[in-house]
Amino acid sequence: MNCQETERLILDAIETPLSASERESVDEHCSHCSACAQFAAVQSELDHRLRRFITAPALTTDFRSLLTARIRQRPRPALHAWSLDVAYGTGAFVALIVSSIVLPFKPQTVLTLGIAICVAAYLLQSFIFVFVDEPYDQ
Amino acid sequence: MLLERRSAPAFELLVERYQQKVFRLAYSIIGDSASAEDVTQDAFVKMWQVLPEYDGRASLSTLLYTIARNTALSALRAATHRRSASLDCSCEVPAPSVDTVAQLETEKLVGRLPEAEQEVVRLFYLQDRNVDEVAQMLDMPIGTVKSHLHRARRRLAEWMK
Repeated sequence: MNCQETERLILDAIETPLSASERESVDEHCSHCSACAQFAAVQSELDHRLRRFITAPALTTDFRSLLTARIRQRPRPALHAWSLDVAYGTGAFVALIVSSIVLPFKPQTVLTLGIAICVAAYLLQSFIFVFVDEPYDQ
Repeated sequence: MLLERRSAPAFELLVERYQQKVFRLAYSIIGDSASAEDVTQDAFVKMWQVLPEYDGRASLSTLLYTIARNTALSALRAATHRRSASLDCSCEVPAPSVDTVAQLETEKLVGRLPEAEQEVVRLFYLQDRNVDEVAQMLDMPIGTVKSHLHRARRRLAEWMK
């Protein structure tokens, strides 16, 4: 076995134990190769240091309660914020069309008045949402 | 059960089973336990939010580890940015003990490794030297994990001389 194969087995041994024959070959090679013996010693020291100093910290005791609180705090909204606007716009559009057909006035007058009322209502609703209610910032 | 109705008890089990692993994964990337804990919290909150869209193509653990890894990398980038913005900090540090010096030296050596090797080395030791587990958590083939480990160990040994 040459030095390259020996070094590979020395590195492998840290992840998975070597077979008896592999162990024997490494020991035999290192007994007459000072460079590989040195490599094995340094790797063993390094493994010892890393095992000692890279240790798993523990989660704090209130980790679970904080997580539960965060999840409860942030319910997924059933509707997107813009879905109310879409519903409002669609409803207003349908109402205007129906009104202009059914009401006994000129369709142009009905449409102009209807659009003006819709815009005013939308602005009022937006004002209430932004300055009074804030429904999406729970 | 978890998939059908995003059940809270099932999610509790998921948290119970993976909280330490996710925490270690985050810690291996960030290297700071307080930030790693924040990342773990964020990862589970995101997991809870994406559960209704989960289609079962990847395993839950793979999805969770991916979320955790991405969250940790974002946190690391943000922390690096903050550190570079406040380099004039003149904090007083107490004199370290001999053991602390050895630990700091080891951390310094590991910190000199390329990022991917650092992550693999840290996680390998945090996960009790289990290569399979590291490969799953980092979504890497086992062979890649091993070659990162081998390269990292050769470098570290060289620096230790």
